[in-house]
Amino acid sequence: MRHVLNFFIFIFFLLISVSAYSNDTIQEFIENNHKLIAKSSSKTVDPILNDIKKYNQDDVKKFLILWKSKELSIIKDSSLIVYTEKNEDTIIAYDIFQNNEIGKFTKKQLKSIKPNSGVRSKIDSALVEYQILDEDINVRRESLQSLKRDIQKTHLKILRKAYENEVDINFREEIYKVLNFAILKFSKSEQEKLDVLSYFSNDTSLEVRASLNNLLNTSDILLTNNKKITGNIARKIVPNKTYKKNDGTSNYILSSYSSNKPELTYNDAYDLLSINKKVLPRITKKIIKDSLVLNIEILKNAGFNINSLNNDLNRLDAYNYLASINVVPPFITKEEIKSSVDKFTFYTEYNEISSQVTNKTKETLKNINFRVNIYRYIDLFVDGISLSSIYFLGAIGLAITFGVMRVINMAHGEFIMMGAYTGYVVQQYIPNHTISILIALPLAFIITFGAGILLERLVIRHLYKNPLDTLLATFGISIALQQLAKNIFGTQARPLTAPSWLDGALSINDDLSISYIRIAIILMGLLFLLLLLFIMNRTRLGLEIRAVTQNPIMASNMGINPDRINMLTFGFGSAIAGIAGVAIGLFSKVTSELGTEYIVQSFMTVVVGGVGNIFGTLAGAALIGFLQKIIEWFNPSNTLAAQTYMIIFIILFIQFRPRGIFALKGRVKDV
Amino acid sequence: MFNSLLKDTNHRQVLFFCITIILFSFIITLLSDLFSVNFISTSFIKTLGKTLCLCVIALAMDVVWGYCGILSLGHFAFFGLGGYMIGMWLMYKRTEIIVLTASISESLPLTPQEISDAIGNQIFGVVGGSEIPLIWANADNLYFQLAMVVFIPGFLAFVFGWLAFRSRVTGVYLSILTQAMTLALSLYLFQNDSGLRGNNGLSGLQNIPGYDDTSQSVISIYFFWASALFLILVFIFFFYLVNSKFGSIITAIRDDETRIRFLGYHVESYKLFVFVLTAVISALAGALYYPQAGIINPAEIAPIASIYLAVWVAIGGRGNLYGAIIGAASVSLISSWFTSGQAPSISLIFYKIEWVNWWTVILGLGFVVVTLISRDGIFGFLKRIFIRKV
Amino acid sequence: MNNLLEVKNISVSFDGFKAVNNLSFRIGYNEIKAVIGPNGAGKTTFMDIITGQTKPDNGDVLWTDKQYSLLLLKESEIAQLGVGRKFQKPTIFENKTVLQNLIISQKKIRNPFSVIFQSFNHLDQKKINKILKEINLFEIKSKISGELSHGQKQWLEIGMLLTQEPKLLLVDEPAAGMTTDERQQTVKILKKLSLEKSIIVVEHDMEFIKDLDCNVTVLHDGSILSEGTINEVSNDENVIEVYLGR
Repeated sequence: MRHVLNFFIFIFFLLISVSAYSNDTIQEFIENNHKLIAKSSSKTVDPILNDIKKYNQDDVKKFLILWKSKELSIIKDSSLIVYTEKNEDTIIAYDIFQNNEIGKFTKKQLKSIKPNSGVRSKIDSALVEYQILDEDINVRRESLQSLKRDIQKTHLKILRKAYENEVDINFREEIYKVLNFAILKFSKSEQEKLDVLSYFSNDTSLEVRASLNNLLNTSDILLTNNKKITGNIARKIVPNKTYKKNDGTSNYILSSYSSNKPELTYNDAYDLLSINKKVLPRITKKIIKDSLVLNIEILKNAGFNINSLNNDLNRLDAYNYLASINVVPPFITKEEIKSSVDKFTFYTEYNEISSQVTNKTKETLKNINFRVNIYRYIDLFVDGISLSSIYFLGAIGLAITFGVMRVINMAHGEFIMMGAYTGYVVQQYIPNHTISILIALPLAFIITFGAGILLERLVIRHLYKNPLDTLLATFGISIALQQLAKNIFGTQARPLTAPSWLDGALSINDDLSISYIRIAIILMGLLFLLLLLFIMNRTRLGLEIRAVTQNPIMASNMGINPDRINMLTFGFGSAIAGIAGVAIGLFSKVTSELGTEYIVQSFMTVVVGGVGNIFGTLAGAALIGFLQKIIEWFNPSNTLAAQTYMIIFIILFIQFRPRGIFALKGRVKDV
Repeated sequence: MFNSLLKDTNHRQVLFFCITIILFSFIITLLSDLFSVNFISTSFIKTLGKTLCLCVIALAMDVVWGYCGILSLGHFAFFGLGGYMIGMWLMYKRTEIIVLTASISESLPLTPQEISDAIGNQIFGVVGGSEIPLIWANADNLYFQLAMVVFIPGFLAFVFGWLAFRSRVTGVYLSILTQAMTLALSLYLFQNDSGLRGNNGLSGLQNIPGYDDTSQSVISIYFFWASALFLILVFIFFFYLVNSKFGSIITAIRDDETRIRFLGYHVESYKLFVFVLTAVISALAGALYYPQAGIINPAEIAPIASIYLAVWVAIGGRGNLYGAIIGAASVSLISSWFTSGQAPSISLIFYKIEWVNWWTVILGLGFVVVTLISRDGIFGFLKRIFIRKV
Repeated sequence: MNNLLEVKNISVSFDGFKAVNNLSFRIGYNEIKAVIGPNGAGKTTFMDIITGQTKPDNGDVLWTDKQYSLLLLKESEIAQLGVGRKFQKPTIFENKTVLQNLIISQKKIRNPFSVIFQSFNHLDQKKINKILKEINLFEIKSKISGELSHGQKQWLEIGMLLTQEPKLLLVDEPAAGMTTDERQQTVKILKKLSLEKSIIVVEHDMEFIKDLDCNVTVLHDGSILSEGTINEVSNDENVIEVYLGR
């Protein structure tokens, strides 16, 4: 309370001092203050900007603009501040206001005035009150923008005036919002603030939240030995017992396992007391050590064994000895610290005086935060879907080949990488990003389809009987392909740029904006899902693939050539990986290790989802995608930990559904 | 103790192996710096010692995969964990000695708290901490850390194996799951707050506390011999194990799990037994390897390391202990020769082949070829040629 | 007669398809019983349930008069109790010698720790040699079993069952792919075995069952269609319709 009063008295005297002299012209004023203007700093510029306001508005505006834009110079001899224009070798100086030519000067005779950025922003905010009433709406808008950045106390009056005078209805609304921020910050009327709080009760924008949070700013920790404390108390602080909550209040720590740490320990509290000269300083371990080192000769003479001073107890003994002969101040025991601290009450006050206002602010913030949290959940949900789509794209090719051939292709990740590099290479030749992506997609399909068929013909068909051998052989392929990519494209990341219409985001409000690329990924995942469902359920190839998946022997008896189906399936699965690679390359770096980043997740997706079912893969991708996002949400700083926990979860999940979410049930096969 | 299936030739084979390794070790020792011959550098002695440790883990891999049919992509993780456990002692003890030595010049002796603060600062300064994490509580105790070398990887293998085998995860699924476990472990260790210095790993492990006056050339010989003897020990143990009834059962599990189950064998406990046993032996090999390597970090544990381990065993010849040793020794030595840039580049007219870049490609493709042509690797290939001639 | 095994009202379905429906069955000591039925009648599922490979949705499988429920046990535990199973195709370990095959099936403590320290002593050797002679493989006991003829493999598998010393034998289509002579031989062996063991023979060949001359249970669509001697069953209207009326 006392602080606030002091502040107002200070402001009062400041205002009087400003209005003390007012009969000179602006020209004279500038001349009188030429030193401060020419060598201004953000610390010294305030009085000038305040004093100058009493002069003719147009003149002040003109001067401030010139000052700000570094177009003023000072004549070294006469200390006259002038406006200059360069004319070949000479510089012509003009009077600032009448535009009369004063004379021609050389460079050496003049010194240009260059206010630093701190000063310029102060000038800006002083200019605001002239510009916000300007005839040109663009000037008004601009000035409101710059005013918003740093609302000053003086702006309150200006904003009220601007709000009354404004004719443009939309802009008037904008002014009203800024005016409300100013009211919350500087108004002295409690009622007015309460009204504003009601007005903001549904607004979740960041600036409103920031402005409300400012209302809840508290003082440093205060202390008193009065039992009764007055003022708008934010929280009482009990040493070792309470913690600080986000809204500035405090609460008791209920259990010692709580993650909340006490705001003050007894030692902290005691140190606060000693800073406030209420008690003698605490004797810390470091002080003890330093004192012992300083007085080591005294101790030796007193018969202390220096080698025994290797623990805190003995050191304290020695220190107490030093204290007893008055060499050092006496040690303050834990009990003394506690009893001193217990005599005092520790608390903080809100900077806002009115408790009604702070209470209402807390309530309003609580409502707003509730809404904000809903937006965050939606955001998390969309994030989860897009990550799931990526995993789906990465895993579906793998799932199809695994379902049909019971073969795990460890080089699947490298097919994803090939797709991404295809996109990169295409972009080197076709600069238009939209067209290049449209060409890259089918090209990646063709290339990886070919590579898949080649791999199947040369390697995998010889190893059908032993899936583990296929695993190994494709490891080899994977290692070789990765190194090959490194040899060709180098180790540094290559850019695969998305078309410009995919930049930016669908912004719904401050907390909810969905980038177009995420939407594109989701759509792509959806498209793939539909396409695959169509192929699997409506085409001859799909029918044959399903037949081979369910019963290969029966299928071959029915005249389906399993060799051909295997080959096509493998090519098809690889080709999907290639297309997924182009998509993945759009938002992550294209490196030779791109595949390895996705391969384990893809396997997890297949394992969790279950084999031989598109919906299984979809469910697996959704589970893993959402899980990862949720874990990240709880622990946003640590994506590594998120992945660790996710894998542990999957290992546990396998316990309960060893064959995945969508398992093919049936009689155990005859041995 | 072991059944009469053992033929006399088996005893002779083991004897032959032991003598070969010991002779080899003697020759290497005689040619080393130790006797001022300087024919073999200290760093090459270390490479050989490390290779012997890799042979041990290859043997473990061969038993779990070649004999029991579990393609584990996690054994290098156990190897690394073993290294971490012994590394903790090496690093802590050495730092403690440094701190205590430095404190002599101070006027007051340090308190236990000050000592541990100073050690914490030295070890964890790089990850922005100074407190010693709880897992280091007994790091100054060699016997405790040695017990941890066995216990931690053994426990991890037990829990993971129990969960995986219990739910009858087999074949490709199991491999993927072990790979996931390895990935999870390495990602965990990459974190700064894992308590094991994040991606910095543990370093300075080649300095053995208390042996500061002993030169590295001597220490390297000690470790070389320790590795050789350990290899012999593990070989003898595994040799008799796989040739006993137990070995007969685990190969039966590999060949036909359902059938052996109907004979009344609890397949899961056999798999768990083999998995944990080989994990512990891998960890011990790791504990011998990393003091010779000098540094361990989470990248060592990454899944690719375990994949390479499978590659060695497959190329050498799985299901055969000699094959595993041949594969691990030859492929790892040749790999380090090629990738260290010692191999001469070949200049073609239009392109210069640099082995550093192309060796991995050749290794990968070579691996595919071995898998396609000779399932039992180089050893099986040689054996067939040899037998045909006879 | 006392029950060795009693199957009570078991049902199991796969994705809505009822493979076994409210099936009850019992077998006494040293009894031989045949289960027949067309393809898809649920014979193999029935065996899977007894050996613990498939868990039924409801019902119970009880062992001996002490009425242990087999449903609580794992496959290996059921096998250790004394349920042996012979598969349709000869399943032996082809990479192992004849002797090794017999050693791993010999009745012994089966946990890994004891196995490591188990010795192959004189008594074990004697037992196995006896069986080797019974199945005519003594001379070639060191041969890799993959190199045996089809008939020898069948014998070896029977030998493996014998060293296992089971109380109950489940035999799946023993006569499949056999000549008449071999079939006669098999019938003889089974009959001889039934003197000291109980045997369930699963078969769809009526002729073979006739030779075996035992009680028959006919399965159809997962439940019992008819039960009785072979003559009773073959005169049953329902059975005739199922076997011939399609």
